[in-house]
Amino acid sequence: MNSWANIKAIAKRELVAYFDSPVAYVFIVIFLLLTGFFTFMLGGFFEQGQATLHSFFMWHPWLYLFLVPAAGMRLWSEERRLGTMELLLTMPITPWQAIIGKFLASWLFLAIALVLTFPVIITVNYLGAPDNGVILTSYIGSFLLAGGYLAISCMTSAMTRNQVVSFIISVVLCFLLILVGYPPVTNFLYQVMGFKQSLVETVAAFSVMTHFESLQRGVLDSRDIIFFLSVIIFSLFTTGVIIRSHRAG
Amino acid sequence: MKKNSFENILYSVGGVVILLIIIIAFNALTATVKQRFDFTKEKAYTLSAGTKAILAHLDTPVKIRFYYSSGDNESPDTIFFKTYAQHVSDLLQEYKQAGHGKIIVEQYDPKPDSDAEDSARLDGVEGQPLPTGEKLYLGLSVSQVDTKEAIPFLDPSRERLLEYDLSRAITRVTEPQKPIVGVMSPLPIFGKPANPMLVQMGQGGQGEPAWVFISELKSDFDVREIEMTTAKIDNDVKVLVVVDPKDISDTAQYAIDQFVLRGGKLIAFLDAVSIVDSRSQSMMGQMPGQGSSLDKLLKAWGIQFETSKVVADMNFKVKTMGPNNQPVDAPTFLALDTSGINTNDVATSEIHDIWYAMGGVFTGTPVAGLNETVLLKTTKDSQLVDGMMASFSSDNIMRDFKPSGTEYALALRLTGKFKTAFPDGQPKDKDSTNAAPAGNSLKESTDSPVVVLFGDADMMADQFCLRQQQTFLGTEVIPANGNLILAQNLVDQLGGDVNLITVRSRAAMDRPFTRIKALQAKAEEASQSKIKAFEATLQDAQEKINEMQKSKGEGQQKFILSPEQQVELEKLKKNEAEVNVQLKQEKKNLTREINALENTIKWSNIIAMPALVAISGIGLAIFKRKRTSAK
Repeated sequence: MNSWANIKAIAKRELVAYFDSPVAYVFIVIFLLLTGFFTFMLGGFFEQGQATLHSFFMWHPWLYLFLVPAAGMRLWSEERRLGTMELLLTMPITPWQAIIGKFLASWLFLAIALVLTFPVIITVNYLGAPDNGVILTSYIGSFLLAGGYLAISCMTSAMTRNQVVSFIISVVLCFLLILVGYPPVTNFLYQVMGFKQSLVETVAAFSVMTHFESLQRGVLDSRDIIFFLSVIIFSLFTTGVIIRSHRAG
Repeated sequence: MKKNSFENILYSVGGVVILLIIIIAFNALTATVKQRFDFTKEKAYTLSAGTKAILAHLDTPVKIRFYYSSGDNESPDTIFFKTYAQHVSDLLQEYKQAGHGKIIVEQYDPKPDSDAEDSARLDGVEGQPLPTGEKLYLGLSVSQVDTKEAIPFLDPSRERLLEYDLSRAITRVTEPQKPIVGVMSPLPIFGKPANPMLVQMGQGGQGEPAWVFISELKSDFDVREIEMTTAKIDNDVKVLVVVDPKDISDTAQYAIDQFVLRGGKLIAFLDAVSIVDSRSQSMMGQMPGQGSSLDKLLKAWGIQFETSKVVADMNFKVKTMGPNNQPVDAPTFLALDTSGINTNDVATSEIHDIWYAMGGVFTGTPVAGLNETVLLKTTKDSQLVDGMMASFSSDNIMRDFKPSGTEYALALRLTGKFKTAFPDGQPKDKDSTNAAPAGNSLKESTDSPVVVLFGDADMMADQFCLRQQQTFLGTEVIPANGNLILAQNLVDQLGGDVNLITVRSRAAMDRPFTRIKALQAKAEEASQSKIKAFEATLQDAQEKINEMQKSKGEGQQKFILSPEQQVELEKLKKNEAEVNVQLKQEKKNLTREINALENTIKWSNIIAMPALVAISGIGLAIFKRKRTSAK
């Protein structure tokens, strides 16, 4: 069997498992309720009077901060707690295939949740004439952001057999990745702490916020895509190292 | 064994660190060869070629300080500015990207009494007072070494010109000296000095001030008067403005030809019927001036301009005072609105009205190598009429009008490769004794010349571009239309960096909720018609009351309302109250309608999809349970 088929098999198994349990539905319902609520109640969608989805996407980094670790925390800790990890790894697949398969399944699951927000696109197109190119890149940005968070959750999930611990560590890590590029923080560093602008910018380049906002403008920049893919690759590689150390140890 | 130890290193903390370093290096490396795809509808993040060229030529860093008060408490007034400030900030980032380290962007939030606020004031950025009493800063300063250019307030209504304004500010600090503008005209546009002899004899002779067009140019540029008989235009003249070049000699045309070929920028106001000229010769009766053209040059460029024909346009016609002080239609006096103005060009995009008095039109296609951009045009409801006829009476024109179905060009710009109109070198004028310089004349344009042609020269005269307004301070002269601004824009654009010409006007990014706007407009219209109807009844009632007043008999009290009048007045008051109630009700209805729409959208967005997912999840679960239990 080639490795792609193995990855696909794992991904399929995981995805089916998601939808077999109520977890998937509860997750999607909560995600959709929260995005809707934040967009229309707190985002000032109508108050801005502009046919853009800015008030919709601006909440994504914060919503994902809690929801994605929640979706990703059980990926490996569950296997470890139930002891099925050994079983999984004795199957004729490499750990890599398992890691990528599980990750892709969860990412696809998040993508499904994201796709189900499509009524909001219909809404702005009904109300005015939005720039659908901007909406497209914003969705790409949101999808990549979810992937980045998910890979980090994947990593923390492999670290511990306790889901709650995994959740908390992953929230903290993702939060840090937001903060270093969050404008109020960078402004604080720059204006109050008197850091050099170039230094602040270098630090901000490590933030998901910087790259997510860049994609929100409607420009697909190779740097933003490479950044998110880098976060994913690095986190998944670290996941592999951790799993390997468990097996060895 | 060896392989195992390699794997051990790879899958260890060391491996993670190595990968981290590799990934950071890879990110840094790919950042230098970045690829960007602008998905926005208006290509909002793609700078014009002109801006890119300007930025590429920078050798000393240019610092842009952007001031915006982000304000903590958002109100509907500030949220609009917030979106715009974001656009500005994004565009500045694009400049920074394209500047390859030569553009330094600093962003400040001038809070009251902060260092940033002092810095803003020092930079010439002004705070705009908000209704809340706070000050809103939204401006920037561009500086290079010790030259500085400020845009005190970035007006969102100039959004389309944002890139142009920024690029212009950059070129202004990099090339601080004022460009030299040459002006050539047989008309007294520089004014006439008073003639004391004639004044004493009571035969007029009072001086005339220069046209406001010229005095305005003088405030921004170094303006130089050029004789109509000149054989050469100085090399340091960057922009040449020619106004009504009547009977221009071939020598002067040759001078202009050579000026254009060496990359000069020419703005020529030709004319079919010169009203201004006829007035300055009022001694000879009201004969209108003949047309003027640059016939030799136009021919070489492939453009035709008929000096005997003026254009009439039914959509742009104005009303003038007739001989008996009654308003008459003047179809050859045009007041262009945006349907006749090129709204995509930087020079014209912010101009909404242009007056064009008895001007001609340009026809023909430019010769190969030249590109034409039409700046002003007529509508299809236009016709060329004889200039002589038109200056006598407009009745005939109105009567015999047949729309031509052509959108005539009234002003156009030519760019590209120009060829000389004088292939044999300088022409020998009869009256000129100068020998032609042998063979050193230019045959083809070397730099990038620009020629802008207008078919009317009167549009720049004071009486066609200014209006006097009585204020408590006395008579004030204000622009009556966009003519002066258009000319200023053009000189400004052509006098600046050559790359500024290709900086396009950007699309505005305001995206209102058109559906809600339409609802509001409809309601507005309905209430307007109600108000109109009421005003009509008000007038009727007024007349009725007056009528009653007049018909009062001798014995009746003049100053006390009769019972009939009172009844009428009561009726009117009642009517007014009713209309007011109705208007209020309509406003309420509109608010209710909009709120209903918003609420429907809001709640269906929040609830519908989650409910659907929940129901399908539950349904699927029930279905599965049934299936398994049946087994």
